[in-house]
Amino acid sequence: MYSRRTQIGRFNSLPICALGKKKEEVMSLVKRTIGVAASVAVAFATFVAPAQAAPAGCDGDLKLVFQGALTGPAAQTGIGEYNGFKLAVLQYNEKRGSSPKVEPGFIDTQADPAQSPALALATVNDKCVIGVVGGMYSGETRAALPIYLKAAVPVISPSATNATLPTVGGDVFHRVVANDDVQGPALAKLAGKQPNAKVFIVDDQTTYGKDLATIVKKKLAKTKQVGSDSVTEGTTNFSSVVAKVKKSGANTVFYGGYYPEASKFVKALRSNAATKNVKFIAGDGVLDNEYIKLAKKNAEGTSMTAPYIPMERANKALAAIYKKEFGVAPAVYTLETYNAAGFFLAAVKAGKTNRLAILDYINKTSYKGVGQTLKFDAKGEPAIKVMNEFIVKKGKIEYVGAIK
Amino acid sequence: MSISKVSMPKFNLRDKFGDWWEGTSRNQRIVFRVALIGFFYILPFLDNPVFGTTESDFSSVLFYPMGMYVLMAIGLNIVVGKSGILDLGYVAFFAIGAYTHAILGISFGFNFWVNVVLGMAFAMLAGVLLGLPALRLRGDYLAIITLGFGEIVRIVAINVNFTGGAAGLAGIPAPPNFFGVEFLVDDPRPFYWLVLTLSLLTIWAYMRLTKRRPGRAWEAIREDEDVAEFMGIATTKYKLWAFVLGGAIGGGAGAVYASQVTSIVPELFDLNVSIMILACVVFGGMGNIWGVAFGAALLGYFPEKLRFLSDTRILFFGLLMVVMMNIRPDGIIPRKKREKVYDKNTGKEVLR
Amino acid sequence: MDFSIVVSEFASLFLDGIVVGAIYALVALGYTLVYGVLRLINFAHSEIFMLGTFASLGVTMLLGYTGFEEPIGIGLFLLTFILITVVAAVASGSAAMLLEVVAYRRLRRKGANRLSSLISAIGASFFLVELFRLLTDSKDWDFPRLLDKNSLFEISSAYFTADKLVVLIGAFGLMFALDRIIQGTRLGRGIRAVSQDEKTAVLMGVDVDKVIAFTFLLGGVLAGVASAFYMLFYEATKFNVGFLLGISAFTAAVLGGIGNIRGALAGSFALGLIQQFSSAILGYNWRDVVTFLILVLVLLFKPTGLFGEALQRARV
Repeated sequence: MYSRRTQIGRFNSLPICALGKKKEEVMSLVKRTIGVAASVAVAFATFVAPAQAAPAGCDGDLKLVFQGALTGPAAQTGIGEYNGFKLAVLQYNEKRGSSPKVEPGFIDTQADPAQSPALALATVNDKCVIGVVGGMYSGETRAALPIYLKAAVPVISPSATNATLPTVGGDVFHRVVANDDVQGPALAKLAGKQPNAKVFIVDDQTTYGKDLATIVKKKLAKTKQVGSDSVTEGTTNFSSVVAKVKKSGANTVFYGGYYPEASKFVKALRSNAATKNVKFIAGDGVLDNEYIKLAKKNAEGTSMTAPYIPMERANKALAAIYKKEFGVAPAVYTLETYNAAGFFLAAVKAGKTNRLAILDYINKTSYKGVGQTLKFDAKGEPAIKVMNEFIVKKGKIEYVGAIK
Repeated sequence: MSISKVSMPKFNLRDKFGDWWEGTSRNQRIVFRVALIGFFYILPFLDNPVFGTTESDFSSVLFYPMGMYVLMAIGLNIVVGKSGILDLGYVAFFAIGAYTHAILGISFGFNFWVNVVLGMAFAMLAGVLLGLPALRLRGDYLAIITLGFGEIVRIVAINVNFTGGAAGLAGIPAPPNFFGVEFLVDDPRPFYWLVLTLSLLTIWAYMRLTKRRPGRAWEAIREDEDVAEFMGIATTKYKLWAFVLGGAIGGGAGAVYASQVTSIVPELFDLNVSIMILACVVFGGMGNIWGVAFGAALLGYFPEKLRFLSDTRILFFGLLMVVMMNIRPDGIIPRKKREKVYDKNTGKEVLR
Repeated sequence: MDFSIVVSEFASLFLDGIVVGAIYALVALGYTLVYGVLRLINFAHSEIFMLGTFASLGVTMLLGYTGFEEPIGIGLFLLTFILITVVAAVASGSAAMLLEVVAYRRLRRKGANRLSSLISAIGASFFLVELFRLLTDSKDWDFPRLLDKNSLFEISSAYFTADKLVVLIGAFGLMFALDRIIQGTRLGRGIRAVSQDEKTAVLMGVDVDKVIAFTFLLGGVLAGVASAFYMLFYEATKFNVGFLLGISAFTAAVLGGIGNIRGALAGSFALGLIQQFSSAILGYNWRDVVTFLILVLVLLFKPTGLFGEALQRARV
């Protein structure tokens, strides 16, 4: 046994025995074991323990969740919907009396079908969620529906139009926006009604616009159709489409799509001397004050259809409250979202507080909303088939009448 | 004064880890590997408010985007990181794999595993068809062509009927039960484990290849293609192999993804995905498979984790990319060991 | 497929193609100049353009012209429009220079590989898009109609309206001015020198930093002017308007031969025409497929682009 001093930098170490070298090893092994054990314990405390402490049922307020795009390219429409949703829930909570409070939640999918499943799964795992108002567009809705179906969470979408959604969503899926089966024929009728109608049909390749245009093409007499074209969302340069319209000699143009592109299209049409006076017809995706704001004078005379009465016309006071609360006028799907949320809240008011009861209520009863009545058929499509005609006159949207 | 192409930061994970790794024994390495792999497998059970993604389901995020990004980044790494072929249209392979499983699964009822193989096969075929003419070009021209290819695949998917058009396809079958493990729509965990296993297998296959001639050939091509050609390496053949193998991995990933989401639309396969995977490769450390996998996991994790920033999260994400590239241009775990640079006159080491 | 439209509407399609091409050209020049000196695809250039559109819009809002329906007199229009163009050019130009300093300069100094710069560019692009989305409330914004769009005269089926003429004259004027700058001024020669061979340029005493800053400034100014023309012509903008236009302009630059200024011009007009004619014949939805197919084919057979002088060897 001997000792030796070792020097480490400025510090002298204590004398260590040769046997101490083994002791050193043992000490370091012990230290490392303690270190590892401590890390495991900390990891356990951080990772595993909290996860197991999650409650089984709902321990707070009931939650109604909005699914849609609050950021990203489609945010304009999404925020318009979300505001309608928020207003409905806010008003309910103010006047709820003895009914349970409902908290408004949201999941921002950016209308991206890649993001919606993860968010939907988190939503259904939250036991306080009683239903979903959304999604906004068909792609993201369809990606989330299997999850909602499995968890029996009732869904009312204000604006998703794809035809396969009822199949994928089964019993839980419902939508406010009219199926093209109702709107398409109405638009075809409207287009064909024009004197010597020569109709040029354009769609924007979204599920909404393309399906609508397809039905119009089917229902409109072939002799009245003079041509068609497809653009994409985000198109700004319509000059080639206008050239085609000009060549076809059309006096009526039907556009299946949304208001941003429609406003640019109608501007391009009116700027060209040959197509200046064509009649412009579109569906409810264009029925928005923003359309008039963007297209200005060119919007004059546009005819549109929609399965509802716009909020400003149906309930001026509500529209004023909306404007005061959010600083903007109601947008293209605000009313549908407001009514969808309203249906859920009516269920809660009627005493239904769990998912299955609410699903049953939505399936069986009807709800008188603002500007429209919601009632769903067995597939979740609107059962009340109403279609209204509107026209832009003197820079304002005017109600013309119902289309039979 | 010497000019170094790679100026390594003073602190970097790769060197620290490399030094430690060299000091370990064989047993320690095995334990480390097993522990690490085990950790990844039990990750879905370790969901908690601090490290998990609170607003989206953690297991779902582990599958997509994290797991998918990792698998695709491994594939793209072979093309971009290892061989230096800039591919801006990688999403095309992903799309081909996804649509293969969707179409064959829905219309013909083919089994998932068959579709994965077929998806990879079709992606490889596309890789050959695109690669044969295009790989003759170099650098940015090749990049543009691959970008064009990616966009063409997406636009064709929108306009053609048998891919479902703009509405896409729904009702895609899930993988069949695997020894009692069910692949259900509301439980992403088996899917995550599937992706994890595939990733590990791919990494293993990749490590085998890189240690041998293909790997060395790819690196030679990346460093200087002309010299590689002079040294007798059949550059076109190896470049095509890199491209096709990368495509195969992308195709396989696509089929797995389609089986989990059960419904696909063309907008899922846009340029942003290609750019994202490329960012994973560069961000993680081009050519370094561990860096790439780690970078991919991070880039999949952060947008979901940052959801609490709601409105501004993409803003911060973009900022993160700029900052990261500026302070760590070679990625988080770069592939080169830090080169010691000596001052010519004094002979002393210059720290960069 | 309707080929007869090409015959009956040829002049109209041709004119529209040239006008669109002119706007593409101004943006494509930005891509090609930066690529020439840095070998970098400046992904964020499309956002520099988008920024210009909002700067243009901002001027009209400050002047109180929002919502204007009645066009203003020609004299007032010219003054206003020149002001808008100058403001947009300054805004975009300075933004471009700032972008270079923040996102690329450090990487260039460090000698980092090009892919890192590319990712930095992409990050900058994301950042700018999101920033403007938040600033503009994700909305579409409209631009007042300052100029009467009635047709001034016609040639065959083509209607020459005042705004198209403004765009054409302005764009061609700028291209000519740019050509003079590149050929005549010191910094312009510096750009050519650095594009050809950076190391030798340094040896010849060229201040590379200054040249690169100037290159970004030029590209930004051109994009700013392009954005003013765009607003005059299309009268609307949104935070993501840069993306589609950027892809087209970039494709145009590559088509003409990236790094080559005259190529960028040729490519832009070619692309504008291709887009117009292919949408008319095949339908708008096939427009991009045709564009990319043509791009791929051109690159396969003439990799340096239509008019490109080889700045680097294209083939292996």
